[in-house]
Amino acid sequence: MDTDTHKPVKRLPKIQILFEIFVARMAMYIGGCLLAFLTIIIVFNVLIMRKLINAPIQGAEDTFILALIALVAISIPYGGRVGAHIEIEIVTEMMGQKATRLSLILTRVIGAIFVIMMSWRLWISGAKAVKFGEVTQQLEISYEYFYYGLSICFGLFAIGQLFDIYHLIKNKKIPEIYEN
Amino acid sequence: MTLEIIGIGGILALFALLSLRMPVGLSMLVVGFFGTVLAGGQRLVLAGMDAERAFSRSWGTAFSNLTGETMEAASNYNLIVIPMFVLMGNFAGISGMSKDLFTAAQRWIGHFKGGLASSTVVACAMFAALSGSSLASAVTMGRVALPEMKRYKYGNSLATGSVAAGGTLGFLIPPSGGMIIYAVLTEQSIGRLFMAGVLPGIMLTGLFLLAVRYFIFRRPEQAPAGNKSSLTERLQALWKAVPILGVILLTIVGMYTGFFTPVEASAVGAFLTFLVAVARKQINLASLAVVISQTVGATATIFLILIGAFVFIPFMSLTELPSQLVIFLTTLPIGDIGILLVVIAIYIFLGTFLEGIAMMVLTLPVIMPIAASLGWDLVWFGIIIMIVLEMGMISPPVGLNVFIVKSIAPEVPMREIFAGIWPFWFAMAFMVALLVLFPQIALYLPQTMIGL
Repeated sequence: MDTDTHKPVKRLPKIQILFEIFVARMAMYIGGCLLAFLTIIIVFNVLIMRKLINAPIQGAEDTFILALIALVAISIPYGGRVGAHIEIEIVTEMMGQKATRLSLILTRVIGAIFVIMMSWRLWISGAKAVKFGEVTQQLEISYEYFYYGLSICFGLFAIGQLFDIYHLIKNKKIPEIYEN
Repeated sequence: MTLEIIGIGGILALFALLSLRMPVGLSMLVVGFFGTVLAGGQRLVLAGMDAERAFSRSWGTAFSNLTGETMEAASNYNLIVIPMFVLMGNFAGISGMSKDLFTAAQRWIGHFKGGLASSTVVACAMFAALSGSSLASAVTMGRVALPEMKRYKYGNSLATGSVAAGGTLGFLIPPSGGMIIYAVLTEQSIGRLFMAGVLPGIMLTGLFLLAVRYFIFRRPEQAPAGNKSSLTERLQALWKAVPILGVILLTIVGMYTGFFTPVEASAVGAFLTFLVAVARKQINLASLAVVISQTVGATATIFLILIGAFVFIPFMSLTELPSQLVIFLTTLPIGDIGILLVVIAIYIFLGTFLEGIAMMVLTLPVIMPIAASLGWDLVWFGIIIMIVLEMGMISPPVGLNVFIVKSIAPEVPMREIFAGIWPFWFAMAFMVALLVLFPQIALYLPQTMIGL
């Protein structure tokens, strides 16, 4: 797939370029596949299997739910990199540049610490999922690996925030991440 | 420390984090988590448990809430409609459907005075039924309609005002992202809310057309008449718009008749819009990458906020602040309508500086118990909230749609854009009044629909 719209700018540190490419490609490839899966299989299940031959696919809803969890997981770190998470800028717009920078550093630090903790707890919940019988309703697929997926993706979200903090301290601003 | 003080402290902390520019979803997560620790612990202490044990237990509860609610939000079957409808809107955006909708409206009503502004409103309403997003409607229709109105020497105020206001219809006309979030947070049926938005959406479109007429009456120089199209040209334009209208009708009628659930309608809509885009030769790797990127991005936007709300709402319940507020409001000698007006006034005020979805998620944990305790129909109330949020999108100083229009027409000063918006703002206020007086406008379709 053409991911030209998601080429990280060259002046970023090498490790960040790798990180940005990874997050963007994960969103593109896995996200694209999940969206295609949801669209095609729901349509197929509804129009052909249920409406036409009255034999809906057993457990289809479970697979849709699992696909949604995966889609949500990969979207979170990607959303962090493309500015998709809504922020309210009205107060910082009235503050000076330095104060805005400090407030951004503060919120990114709080955010990163919290998200790291969240990632850790999601991992623990994954490990306990089997013990607590956390499975899908029809196919009884364990949520264990989906907790791990969420945990990893929230971890990636935190890493993105750490890169932002690095730039805010070193370069006094968050650079453009992707070339457009 | 009383539970109410913890609740008020939590709300203040939330606004402090928001004003420092922490993402809305993350702010709610942080406050919801630590608030649960504090409020949960305090409740146990008040029940007689020693403090150390109480807070140790409340940490456990907060951790369990954090991960449990995250999974709960991410694994909610009904929320599949979010990425699916966003996907449908993005396919519609790249396929050139917006241009065809505008051309069809323009050919039929563009020759009247102010006809292009009216065409913009009608095309926005149609596109809203595909995109589910007011921003997407404003951006997409703005790019198509503003150059046309400039070409016909329309005044800046009317041109930009009609795009900004027309775009807000995306929040009311199904499939609306805002409605989905409202439905999830208030545990209402998404399908019923969608249906409740149809008639008010059509009526508000009509009121916007009247607002255009009023604007022309006051400032006739702003809207010269356009060229009249022949019947053949009109029919050709209509023919080109047929597939789009087909997708809109199929999804909405499909849900109304119970043929599709909202999730199924969203997937069918996305699939059909994709087929239309393929038929128009608009699908290539680059456009697919844009569609996927925008869809995944929008999924992130909504789900982080929802996860935040799922963690924040139990904290609010623990503090008993919403129930205290209910008691306070219901003892005021202003009656139900008075309370409703207070709630609407609060939303209008917040809408002047808060983003719509953020405002809804932040306020619903407190407002919803009030609405429920007064016996208001939450579907009807949801539609009122949607319109009031729409008003916020074009209210100064932070009307998001106004900024979108400004980004498309940077040469137009903000005061000119806002000058063009007021007739539409009052049209929305009138629509709210109609809904308060005649709730059946919103409730007729959901009460007569089949299935969910």
